Amino acid sequence: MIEIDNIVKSFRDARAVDQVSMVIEPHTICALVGTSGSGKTTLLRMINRLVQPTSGQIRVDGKDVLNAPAYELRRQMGYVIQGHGLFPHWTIAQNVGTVPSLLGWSRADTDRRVDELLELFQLNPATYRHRMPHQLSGGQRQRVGVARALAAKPNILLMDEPFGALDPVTRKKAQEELRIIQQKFGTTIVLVTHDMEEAIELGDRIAVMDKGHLLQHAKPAEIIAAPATEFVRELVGTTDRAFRLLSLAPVGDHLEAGTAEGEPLDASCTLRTAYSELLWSGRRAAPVTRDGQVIGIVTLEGLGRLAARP
Amino acid sequence: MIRTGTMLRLLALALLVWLVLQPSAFAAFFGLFTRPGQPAIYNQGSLLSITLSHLLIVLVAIAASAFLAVSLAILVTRRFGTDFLPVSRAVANIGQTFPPVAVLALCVPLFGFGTTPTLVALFLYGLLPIFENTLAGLSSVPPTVTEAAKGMGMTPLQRLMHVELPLSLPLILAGLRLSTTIALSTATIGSTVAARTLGEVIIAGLQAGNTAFVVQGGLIVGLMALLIHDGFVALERWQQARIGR
Repeated sequence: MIEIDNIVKSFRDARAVDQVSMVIEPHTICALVGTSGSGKTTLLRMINRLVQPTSGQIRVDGKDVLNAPAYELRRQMGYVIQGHGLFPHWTIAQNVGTVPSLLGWSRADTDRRVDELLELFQLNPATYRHRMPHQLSGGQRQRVGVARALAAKPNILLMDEPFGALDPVTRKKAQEELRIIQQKFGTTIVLVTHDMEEAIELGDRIAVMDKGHLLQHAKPAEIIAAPATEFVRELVGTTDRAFRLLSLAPVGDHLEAGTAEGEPLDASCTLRTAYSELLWSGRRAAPVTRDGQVIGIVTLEGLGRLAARP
Repeated sequence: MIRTGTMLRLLALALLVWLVLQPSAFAAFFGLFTRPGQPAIYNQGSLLSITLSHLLIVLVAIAASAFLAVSLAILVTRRFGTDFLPVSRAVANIGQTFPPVAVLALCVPLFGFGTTPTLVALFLYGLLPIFENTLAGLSSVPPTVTEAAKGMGMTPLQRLMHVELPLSLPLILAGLRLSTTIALSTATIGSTVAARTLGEVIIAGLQAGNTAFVVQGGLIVGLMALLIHDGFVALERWQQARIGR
């Protein structure tokens, strides 16, 4: 659990972060959203002390982050930045093994962990272990960046616009991957982004910041349905908020009884995907399957009701 | 192309080694530059030992300038050291603008004749290229990389040793290359104050009006400078290729 308590950061006369308090629950993803200059990155960087707070306190699992040396704190947290920041003179294996080496893991343990992570990110260890970062594609480098942050099995992962430099297709895949990994390890993730779409996609909770203030910290559905200020409403966008609402839940959670014809949908796809699929194929309803078994149907009508303002 | 270059270098190296180990083998060639009755090969000492002494003086002087210049560059790129940047620049610049001959002249009253004045002159002359290049190298490390190193939990010393210095290495090597090649040729004037360098051979040739000596001394210095220069270039290229620049 990360408790942020009345934190302030002033640069000369300007307040980059102004009296922000919030609690980030363990095993969740918290998305910090805002325009550039909103203080979201500064807030993130105060958690691992890359920025020293002017006043206030940040506690991780009840302990003040200022208690231990900064480098020790940082080794216990994963950190991913935009543009990956891989060490260009180190091989992929050395890059991923950075924190384990700093922590003094044995060579064998580090190697085993590196291979495990490369496998996890679908980079064949035999092929990629000895490559240099410049020999990889942007998407692969980004994955290595996340693998490096996860190497020492941190409970907390801090991500500063991790997917900002990726093309839309690669970004989508990276986001899905992150979701899966977060569920697998139960890592607490704080993710800074300026993209509300990404925040809604990934965040269990969204914290919206503007000019150093925390405007709203709530579940995505609440942010969409009841934006606290005009700024939040603007950020969510009014033209497709109904679709954003639909994108929050999987089809499996809103099954209806009955039968339907045609290509079935998987229970794990979002309501938004289902809605789009029905419109596209010109059907009023479609069967839903889980592990190949038909478990119910979705209908245009039902989806329409779910998309309405709560 | 690369093959020819390597071949030429190996040839030059073989020529240099042969010339230094067995100068008499080249007597016929150097005889072309002598006047009747003059010896073709330097006869007032072993060319091998003079060459080694020349190399040693350059090595010691450049090692000392590298140590000071790199340390200064590291110091002024730390947060607490930025105030020293102008002073360090001034020191390195003065070292470079002072003509080595003047340094020799000033050092003789202080240290007497011998190797020391030459060492001091070469040391001062070598500072600037290494300092400026190391500075450029350290400041060209991408900010995302230093940021990541910090975020991973490296201590300042670990960041310097594992990230900043290795990434600056190609530029530091370029500075060393400049300083070393300059020092190799400048060392010859050290013989005017009795340092044991190849300048001895050249000066002996000038005094006796024996062009063969001048050519010998010059040729050995030239070949060494060329080979050492190329060696550094190869090292720099290898480093750059490794990090994909």
